Amino acid sequence: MGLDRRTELDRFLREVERRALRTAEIQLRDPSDALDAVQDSMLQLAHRYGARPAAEWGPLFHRILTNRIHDCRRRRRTRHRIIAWWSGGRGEEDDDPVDLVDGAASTDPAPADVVAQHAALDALEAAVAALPSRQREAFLLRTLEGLDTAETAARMGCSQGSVKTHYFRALAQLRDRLGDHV
Amino acid sequence: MSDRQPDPELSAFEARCRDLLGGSVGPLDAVREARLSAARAMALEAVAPQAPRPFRVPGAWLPVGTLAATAVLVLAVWWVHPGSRDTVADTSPVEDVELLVSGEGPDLYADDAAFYEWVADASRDPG
Repeated sequence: MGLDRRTELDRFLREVERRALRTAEIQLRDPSDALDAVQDSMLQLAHRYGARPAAEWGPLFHRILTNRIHDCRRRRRTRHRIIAWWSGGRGEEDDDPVDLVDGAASTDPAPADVVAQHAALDALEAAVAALPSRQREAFLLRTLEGLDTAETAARMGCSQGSVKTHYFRALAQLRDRLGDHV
Repeated sequence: MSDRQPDPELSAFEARCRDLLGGSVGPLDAVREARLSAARAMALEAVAPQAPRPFRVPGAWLPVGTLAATAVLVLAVWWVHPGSRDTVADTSPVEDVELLVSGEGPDLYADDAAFYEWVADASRDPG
């Protein structure tokens, strides 16, 4: 029974790990933090919920990963505020670290051989990372995970109407921000 | 697709986002692949072993069970030592009432009057 369970869990993790990593990378904009978040989520899922029915793993893993990502962003924000305060009060409420990362990414000189698609993807990821958390979550579940409205609502623990609202606002905001860049 | 977007331009933008993001979930480089494999292995190790438990007492039944066991123990002790039941006077309350109502003086001293006189003398004259 234990062996079957592990095989089942192994299969589940293999199935979700790449999309989970992409989700974390897009939201955290840091490969190392993203890997840490995915690793912690895998561990927590296995340790706490390994005995639960396999059908529950998907929503549980998503919730754990989302919390990890939020924690990481919150830690960054706090760290950034402390550093800003220490260095003379330059950082204020509107200093979102994601914006700093976004700015850093956009000012990097693109290598000549980088294709336009990579630049567009980079811009899209930066813009998605700057979305409000619920909009970001809805957008990634719909576009990256490929879930429909009902599934997204179940994952997010809200109504389908809320999902539609979050998703629509996310799309509109991204289009306004990116324009023809994507 | 969202039900709230009749805007074809927005739909086209959404499709481009899907293509971009969907296309970015591809094969990983060796470093990230190795990290994910290690993470997966650690997670599988962390699965709590499910040793079969021979008997599991639900928490809610614990106080009830304790109370019942205590009651059984008290009954058993009481039953094994029936002599202890005789410590209570065997006379029934009815007999006590008859004795009081009869008006006869209880002859408690009658049998041992000599003894009680001797005790009184001894306490008066200790020498």
